[in-house]
Amino acid sequence: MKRYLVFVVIYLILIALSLVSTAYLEVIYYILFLMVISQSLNILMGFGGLYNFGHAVFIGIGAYAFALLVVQGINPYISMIAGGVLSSVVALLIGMVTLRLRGPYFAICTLAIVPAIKYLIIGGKIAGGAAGIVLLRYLIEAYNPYILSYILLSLSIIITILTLKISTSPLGYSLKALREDHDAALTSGVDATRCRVIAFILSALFPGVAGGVVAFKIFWVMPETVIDLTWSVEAILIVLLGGSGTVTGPIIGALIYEVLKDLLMRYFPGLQLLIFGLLVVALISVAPEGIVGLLGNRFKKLRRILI
Amino acid sequence: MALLSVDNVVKRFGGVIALRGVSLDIREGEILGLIGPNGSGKTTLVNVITGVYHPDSGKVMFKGEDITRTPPHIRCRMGIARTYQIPRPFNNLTVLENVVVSVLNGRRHGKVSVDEAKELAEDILEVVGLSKFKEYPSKSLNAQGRKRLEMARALGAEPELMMLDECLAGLTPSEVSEMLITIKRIRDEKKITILMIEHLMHAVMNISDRVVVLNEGMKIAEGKPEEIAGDIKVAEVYFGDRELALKFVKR
Repeated sequence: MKRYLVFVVIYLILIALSLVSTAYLEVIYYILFLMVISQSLNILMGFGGLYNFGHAVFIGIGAYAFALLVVQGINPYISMIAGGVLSSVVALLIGMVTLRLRGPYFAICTLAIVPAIKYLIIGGKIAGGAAGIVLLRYLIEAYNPYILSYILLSLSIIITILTLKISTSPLGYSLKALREDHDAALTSGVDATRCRVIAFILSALFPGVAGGVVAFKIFWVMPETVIDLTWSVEAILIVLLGGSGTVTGPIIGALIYEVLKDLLMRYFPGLQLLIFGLLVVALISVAPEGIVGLLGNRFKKLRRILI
Repeated sequence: MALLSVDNVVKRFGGVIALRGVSLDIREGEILGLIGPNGSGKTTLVNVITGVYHPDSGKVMFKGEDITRTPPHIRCRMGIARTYQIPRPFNNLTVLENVVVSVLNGRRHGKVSVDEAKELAEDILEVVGLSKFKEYPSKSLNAQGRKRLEMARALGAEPELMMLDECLAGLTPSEVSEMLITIKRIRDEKKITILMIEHLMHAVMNISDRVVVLNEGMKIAEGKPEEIAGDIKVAEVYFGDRELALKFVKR
């Protein structure tokens, strides 16, 4: 149990603060959202070494699937799950094409996916085109900010447990081997395509569900707001900041990222991005293995709980 | 019957022809030495056998099955493992985890739990003499340690055929003798057929049952170590001069 101390403490603090005031609830909603998208990316990026700039697409697909189903009168919570499933199906299709590529080639290819899908919806006038779908009248009665935050909380906990399991599973070892040396992994019997596609599908499921939560929260899906490259970049940054390939890393990273961003916005309005950028550069040069790696190296005793 | 046979394999890289119709058999249970000057195609041949490269023509047969187009990971699961000339450990994994990867994905693929794989990996580390370092990150090993880890990882897949690509290069004389003992032990105890690429002549001649010599992508000689040592063509390739070669062979 002691091994999981970090997770338990962080989640308990978040739950406690969410009950204090609705202002806190808003911040916590966003922290949990970041935890979900960065931990899910961590499966692919931390273990598999694959930088997926297309991660935001899964949020968008989840949001659109949610909206289209809700408009049909389907229960919003079921629609969220359907969004996750659809997102994984799309991941399978995208993965079969892009996962043939290695390292930076994969990263560049995924970078193109976000605008591709976005402009497909706008240009093809799919699901309302650029104007999107307004959901206010379908959802206003069911809206409850606590429920939405707690859905994200549950997602975050489930995906953290899943990541812990994967970390010490045959899939986890194979992914890590591929990350370290692709060819040596192949000649050690690792089925690269299979492992990477499975990791891709798993990492798409949760942002798909979270996409439904986002759509519910803002009552409106449109390409500009739910298919946002910023989310991909934020997720990658959080994984790097916290500690790529560790399970505590994305959780600590998401927490620090959001709190830091909010503080800078409050005290240095207008300059927040500049200062934030400098801080990130400084942190990554001091701690290339992320905050978890830094703490683990400094304080050997912490290693047992910073898994 | 040969465990593995390479039949008339040609491999081109643009204008360079690395293998010009090489054929050879590896017999079950033997240690086959593969020698030849730099650039003679030894490592390319290993890459063709493991499936990293596909030959432009020719066939590779393993236990009577044509594996010319089989992907590398399937070949590993069939029982072909290799080490790399320049060790390629999974740097950020521990020594034990390196071996666990190949145990989980090798011939026991899908039939072994992570805990069982760890136990098997520990036994293998014992054989190659790396037990002390099992919890260390593999990047912290020295040259000899890395060479041994390459071997351990290949053994983890439980191969029938293991190809050692210059596993003695860069070791000190005493390390070489230790390594040779380990290799013999692997062949005798685990009944693994070994193909050994090597530049250290005394080592190859000592340990091999048979030796194949490649030069410029062609097989120029094949036979018992003592036959190869007396072969004028081989001596010529190595000395680059017929007179010198004749003198050497006469002696």
